[in-house]
Amino acid sequence: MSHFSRIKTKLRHKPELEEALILLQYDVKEDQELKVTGSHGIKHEVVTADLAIAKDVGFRLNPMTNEYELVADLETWNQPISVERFLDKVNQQYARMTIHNTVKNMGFEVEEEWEMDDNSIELVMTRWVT
Amino acid sequence: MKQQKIKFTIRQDGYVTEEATGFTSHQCVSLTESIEKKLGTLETRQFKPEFYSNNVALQQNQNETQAQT
Repeated sequence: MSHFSRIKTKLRHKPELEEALILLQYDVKEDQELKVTGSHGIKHEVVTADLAIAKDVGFRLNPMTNEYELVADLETWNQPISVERFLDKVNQQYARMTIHNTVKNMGFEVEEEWEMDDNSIELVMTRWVT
Repeated sequence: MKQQKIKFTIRQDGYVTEEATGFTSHQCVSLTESIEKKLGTLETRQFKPEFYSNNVALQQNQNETQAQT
């Protein structure tokens, strides 16, 4: 009748990733060319990001893993939070939007949703069946 | 009518734990599998004892959940 599952979130779907970035109040632009420092920090290279939130921060699809990965210039990173914290927040909101969209399509409704003291989000979805 | 419930806890690093109650045993897995696939990679799945019984009333289920917390 019941089970617990533990799932590691992967950024695989563009619509939910875009929704997550908008929820985090970023101005999201599609298909932008970003200038980031090259692998040895010597010259800049131009990378096309599927979704960009700044002139040097965005996400692009890695065709090898089929996951969106962060493209950023770590040398000029000037967001108010660290790269790691930024990615955590994106993953959390992405998971939230993915759950909302997937489960609502199955006829579930949000019964409760709240943020806990440890910054985790609890989300209770229910549906009635005969 | 019977209520089915899925409780998600989304940690601040994006790890999700999911607790499903009120499902018949196989429906429970097949339904949440599609959610898990959309979200990412399933790391662990642990069945509660009542998974192995098909006729547990929802009220009992809720009582057990409350007793665990």
